[in-house]
Amino acid sequence: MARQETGRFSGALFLVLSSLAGGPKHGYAMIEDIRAFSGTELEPGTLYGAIARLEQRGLIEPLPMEERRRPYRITPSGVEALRAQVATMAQVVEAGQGRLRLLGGPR
Amino acid sequence: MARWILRLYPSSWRRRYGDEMAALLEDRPATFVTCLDLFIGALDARLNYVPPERTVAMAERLKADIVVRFCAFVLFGLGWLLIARFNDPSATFVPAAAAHPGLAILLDLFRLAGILAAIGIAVGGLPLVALAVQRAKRRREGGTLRLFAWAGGSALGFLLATLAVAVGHPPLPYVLAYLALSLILLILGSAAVSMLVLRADLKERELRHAHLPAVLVAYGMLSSLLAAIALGALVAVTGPGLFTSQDVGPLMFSLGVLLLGFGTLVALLGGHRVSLTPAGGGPA
Repeated sequence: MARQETGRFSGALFLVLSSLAGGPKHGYAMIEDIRAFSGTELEPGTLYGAIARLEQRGLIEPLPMEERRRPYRITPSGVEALRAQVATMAQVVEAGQGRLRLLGGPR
Repeated sequence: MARWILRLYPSSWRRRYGDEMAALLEDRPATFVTCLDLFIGALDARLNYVPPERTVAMAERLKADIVVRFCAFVLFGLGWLLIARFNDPSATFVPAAAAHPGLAILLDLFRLAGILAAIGIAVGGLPLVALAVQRAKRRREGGTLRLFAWAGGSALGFLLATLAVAVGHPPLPYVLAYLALSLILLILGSAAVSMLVLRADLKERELRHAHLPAVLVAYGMLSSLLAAIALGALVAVTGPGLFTSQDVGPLMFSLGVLLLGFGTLVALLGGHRVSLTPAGGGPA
């Protein structure tokens, strides 16, 4: 995912996938969930840009409308993509921590 | 203000997401940052949003193009196999080629261009088949996996039958039976591969990866066809006796050129169709 997407949506794609990994949600619930677990406030334009991209790639899928809100859920391909992205980020975190240790000082 | 900015999104986008986005905007107050974000989102949707129905239609069209080209290559391959052993027996071909080096050059060019086309088919097609099988396994789609088994079984059967004929020197009835079996396996295998690709859940961007190898296939086939025509013409002018002395007689040679020509024509027309398709593919 990170290799393919470098624009303003790259972080949003990851956040939306991470949110939906916890279960199906509609737009407002995603914004609240993302704020709760990452502290990031996604605006509607960025959120729906990410939703459209993820849906187009088959990484999430829409569920039937509930009143005027449509929940989305992560697909098996989405789980794979998220797993790959998390693994990449874990490597980056490990490398960053290692280099910080070399610099010394408080962690 | 935010609802007004929503109108800047493309109509296809609004049909798909407009209601839910409007409901979301009712749930939370729109700030200046929200409006700016919506404005950039509208611009992004104008530039990048591809309606799902268009993506699906394009993917189906690309799949059909790939299958047509594959079938064209199968026809071409049959023609290629008919002509490829034109130097047998070498006792008559070598002296003729020594007198007219063009014969050997054209035969080598014909073979090489055909092999290049086969490499193009493998490079463009095998990843798609692997992807289709991988997804079918994950989703436990028995029908798709059975098609793959048919294709693999046909290839294995053809390989074993060819080995049996190549190792021994079977009498003519066995050779004819081998040819009939090969034809049946070829038809079965090609049909299975074609149906596998048509049924597979392959995305447009994945299918577009086959475009460059497809160009190699089409031009490899065209070069091979031209070399075969030139070879036939050179034989007719310089040593028509070769048509009677070689295992590949005039009828077989003509049938081979016919199959090469038909296959190449279909492949080139298929390639032309793909080159005309827009290079959209969405925001991926």
